[in-house]
Amino acid sequence: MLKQYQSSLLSQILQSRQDFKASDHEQTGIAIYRNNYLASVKRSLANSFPAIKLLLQDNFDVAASHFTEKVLRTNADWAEIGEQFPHYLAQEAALRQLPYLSDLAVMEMALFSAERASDNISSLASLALLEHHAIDTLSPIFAPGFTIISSNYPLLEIRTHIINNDDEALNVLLTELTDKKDKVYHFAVYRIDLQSHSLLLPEELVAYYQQLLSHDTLDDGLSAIQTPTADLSDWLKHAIEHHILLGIATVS
Amino acid sequence: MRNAHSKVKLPLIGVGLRHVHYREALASVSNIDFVEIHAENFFAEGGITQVLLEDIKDKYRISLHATSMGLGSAHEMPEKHLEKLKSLVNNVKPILLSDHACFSWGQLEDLTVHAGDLLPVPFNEESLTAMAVNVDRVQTAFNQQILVENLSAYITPVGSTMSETEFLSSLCQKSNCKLLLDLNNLMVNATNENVEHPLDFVISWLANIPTNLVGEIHLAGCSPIGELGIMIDDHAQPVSNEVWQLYRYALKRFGAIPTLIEWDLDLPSWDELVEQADRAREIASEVLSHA
Repeated sequence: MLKQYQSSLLSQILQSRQDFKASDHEQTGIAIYRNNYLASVKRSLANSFPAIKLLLQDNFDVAASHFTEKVLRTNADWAEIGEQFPHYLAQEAALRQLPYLSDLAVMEMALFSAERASDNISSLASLALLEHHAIDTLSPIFAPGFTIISSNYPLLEIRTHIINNDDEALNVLLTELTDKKDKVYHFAVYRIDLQSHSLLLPEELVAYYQQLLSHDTLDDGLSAIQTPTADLSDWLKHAIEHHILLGIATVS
Repeated sequence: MRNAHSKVKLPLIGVGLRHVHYREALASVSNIDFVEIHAENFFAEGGITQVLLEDIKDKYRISLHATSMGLGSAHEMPEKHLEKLKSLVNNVKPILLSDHACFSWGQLEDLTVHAGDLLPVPFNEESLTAMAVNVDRVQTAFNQQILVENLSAYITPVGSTMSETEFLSSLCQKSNCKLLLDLNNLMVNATNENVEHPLDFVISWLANIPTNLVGEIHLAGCSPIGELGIMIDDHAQPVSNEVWQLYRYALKRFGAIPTLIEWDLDLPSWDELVEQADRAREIASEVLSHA
């Protein structure tokens, strides 16, 4: 009985399923819970996706409402509700005229997550380990929240124009893109100190970042790069200069 | 704590600490005994959130108030969520740890879902058993007694076979937890249920709670929603006169119980929040010195 009551109430609140037996008093109560839920979803999504919110304006709230009807909330942490928002945006027919929207949302979620990611403590002095240890016993320590996002769109420029409210520059950029549909951009998203950052990665260094991020040891990562397009020293210089690589550690 | 000018034992008086007040609260020399933080606002594993938490811990004793455990849920809270909270509890080492007499977890389309809200349960044996099991589970995990807060509810679930006071008292006795008495929630419920004399109704409610079961008191304000003709427990106003009156009664009945001023929306200045805490302290001093 209790499970049944609770599932029924959750369905009415989270999925807007109507219980036609509900009294006026109950319907008012359920409407309050439903409105609270929608307000919390909108607030959380706006917090995680500031540029998407600016771009869509009033349509952002409409999208957030549709999102709540299509995606059930399976996590009690409001900060994580946005994880499925990029996928929802990609599927939403009404938003297909903005084909970069889903990728932009992936980047915004990565920026938001990087701000909350575990602190990675290391020092560049740890690079001295390279002198005394085999590279199959060493692993890179990257900046908190470090991830790589790949897209056919210049997301950093798009995001900057949206945040600066520069519609004209955004339109020019998007018009130019029609000839470059096959180009792939790779972006690093990570945190320096307390702020998240995003950076366009040089094409020749992408393989280093991708393989070293996805393998446990330096040896495995470097071995997975089939045709290096740059020297390891170039990658190391870039990673240190941009605070993406914090140090290295021995693998336990 | 003891007031320097009297031998009266005063309760610890705290305020809910919200984001906009962090800077002033951390720089302030106000006479606040503890702050309450919402557990779910500190789930981030690193970054600014953890820096702030360390600063708050350095300056204040902390009451950790959760809103996500859904202690009355028939569907089990996921272990992953419990572990998240446990990690926070171990880090914060709160002087008080609380959540609500509600449900939040359930199952829809084969998925474990969370309501994002505090939903009411009927007051009957089945709910009591479910809540006692969940309270036992979290008290064992946290190795700490928890406080369970009475709810403001906007629907009345069918199937209750006992009063709310019987339900909550039985829960405390079964699970060795304590009650967090939210006086504003009681006033909101009494008002929305259109009882003839809400204040008298709530005083009778309090009179039915055994005096040894109360571990904390929450004081807050609420707002009327004109078109719906009901009160919303939004914590967007100063503590109402009715709630101050109830606080006097609660102090007489339950003694020097830790007391918290909650204010979550349309936040006032830090100074105004502290003034509310000062008022609670004055009332406690006055009431308890005559007790």
